[in-house]
Amino acid sequence: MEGAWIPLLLTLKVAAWATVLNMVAGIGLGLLLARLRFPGRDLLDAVLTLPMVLPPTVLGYYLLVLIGRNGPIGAWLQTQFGINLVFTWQGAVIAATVVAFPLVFKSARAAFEAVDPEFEQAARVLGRSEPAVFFRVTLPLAWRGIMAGLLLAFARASGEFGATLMVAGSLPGRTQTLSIAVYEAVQAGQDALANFLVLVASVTCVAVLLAAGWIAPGRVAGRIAGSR
Amino acid sequence: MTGNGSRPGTGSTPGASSVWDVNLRRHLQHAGRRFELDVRFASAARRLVLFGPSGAGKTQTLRMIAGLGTPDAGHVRVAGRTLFDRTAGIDVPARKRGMAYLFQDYALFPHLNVLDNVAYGLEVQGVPLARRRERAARAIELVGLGGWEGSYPHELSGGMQQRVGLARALAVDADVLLMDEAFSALDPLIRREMQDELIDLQARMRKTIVFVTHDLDEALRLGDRIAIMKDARVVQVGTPEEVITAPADDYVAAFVEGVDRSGVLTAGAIMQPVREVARLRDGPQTALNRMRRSGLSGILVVDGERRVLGYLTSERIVAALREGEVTPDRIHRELMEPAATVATDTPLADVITIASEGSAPIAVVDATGRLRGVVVKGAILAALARTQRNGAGEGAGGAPDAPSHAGASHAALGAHRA
Repeated sequence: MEGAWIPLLLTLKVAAWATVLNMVAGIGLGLLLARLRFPGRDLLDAVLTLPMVLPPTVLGYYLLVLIGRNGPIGAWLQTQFGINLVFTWQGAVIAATVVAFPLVFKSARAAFEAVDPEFEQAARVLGRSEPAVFFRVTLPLAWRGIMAGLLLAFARASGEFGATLMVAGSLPGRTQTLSIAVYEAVQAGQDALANFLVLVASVTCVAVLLAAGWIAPGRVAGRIAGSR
Repeated sequence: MTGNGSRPGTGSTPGASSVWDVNLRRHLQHAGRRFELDVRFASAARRLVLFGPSGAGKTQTLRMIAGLGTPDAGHVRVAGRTLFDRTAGIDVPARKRGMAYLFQDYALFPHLNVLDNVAYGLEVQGVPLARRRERAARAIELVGLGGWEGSYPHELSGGMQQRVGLARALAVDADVLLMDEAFSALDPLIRREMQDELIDLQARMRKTIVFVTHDLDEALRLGDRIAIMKDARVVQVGTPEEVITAPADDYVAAFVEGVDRSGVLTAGAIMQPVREVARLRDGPQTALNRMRRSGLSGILVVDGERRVLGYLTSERIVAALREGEVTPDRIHRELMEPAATVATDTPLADVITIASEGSAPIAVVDATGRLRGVVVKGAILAALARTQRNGAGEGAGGAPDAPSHAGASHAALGAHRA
């Protein structure tokens, strides 16, 4: 059973990185689409939501085409920096990030749209610069919705299977995440290992969901104020 | 007190003498219809009220003064400082205009408690934390909310929330306070209280205030000048008295028709010129002749500097002459009754009380005690009953004289906006 901890730690590492990347990208693009009107906004929204509805293997194939050795991004990374993402844990991070992205983006956009612009105007009249308005008013007011999206994204990223398998493969100790390890264990007939891995995965997911439920709904604004 | 109001369009020249020099245009889209906001006024008001029905463009105007909206053309100058000038390319951002803005629905930060809400604007000014909290606490005390510093906005009533908004605006010590229907959501009693407090605060702290309202009574109470807006234009700027006694057009006249005039009008606004006075050396017969000539039953007696000495009735003189108790060369003081006097700025409500105590005309004197005019009972009733038109033929024909017409005119106005 010792071997179960390696895929768990790898999974947490991949999911944590995916969540951090999504926090930046999801908040940025969520704010952009919530506050700016520009031609093609709806189309962009649809494209950014696509990872949620596409089959993960299809998504994984797209990523492979893009960041593979011969893909436009992959070839460029290879020649410019000597970086190869395919069959690495960083590749798994990319896959998990893309798959979980719409959860953060959608939540962030809705959360920003729910912030009354009057609060921002009040801050401006009180002398606040635009970055200060964002970090001290807009973001704190939208934070609860964004946080819920981030927790769901973390859960989704840690359970990722299809796209990760396509991009990063299943190299034990290097790219084999928990969900892939379960699949491999079942395929190899290692029922005891599979049982244990499933238990670990389930407990982890329940913990994350409980945390999400505890932070997101029905809490008074004052509690969020504590996270200032 | 009177005569300093300016009409729209007169304020195109910049000048330190004028507090407000606003001339702005902006295309707006409202209910699927495009129209152009075109607001021009100049005024020296310290408590300026923007008054008009909803949809007249009051809030849009206030927002552009605050820098929360950008005009397409024109300029905004406040107390000699240019905040916006399209042709000169000046557009001072809202955060650098040094104004405080009170929103209709308060806009208190829900994630901050009362103290932090009030202290919020101070952080920018580089005030150290301890001083910030101290100044915020003082502002909270000032609006009567001491003890609520740790509460969150959602835990407070509407009236208390607006007090927090007021404290937040006062804490930053902005010279200019912009208030958008700030008291509209409050119940009448608290509203009245807040209005009184605001007038009091303004007098003590020497702020310049612009107050937007669609409530005429509130406008007349709060404003030392009122700018009346209609269909995205300013149609008149004047003191409350001017607006009531000399409405610029039928629109304004229709608005002020039903208002309680007694609290707004002053003795100075309804007084009539003194046609005849008597002096002590005139003698009783001369005084009597003057009264007969003018058809008066009494006359005010003044000294050489037109200070009121008393009131003389024809009845009393005739009786005194008959009994030979007077010398013909001068008016004896014992013939006179004390004259009721009021100042030019005495509210009509007080004049009414005095008028009800006697039948003699009331002398209106200025600050130096000189006779300026008289108020007779008939004039009080006339002032309360209707608007005295300032120049016949002004505005379109069919002036609404009767209240029923005024009502129709209001309805037409509504249709116009829709």
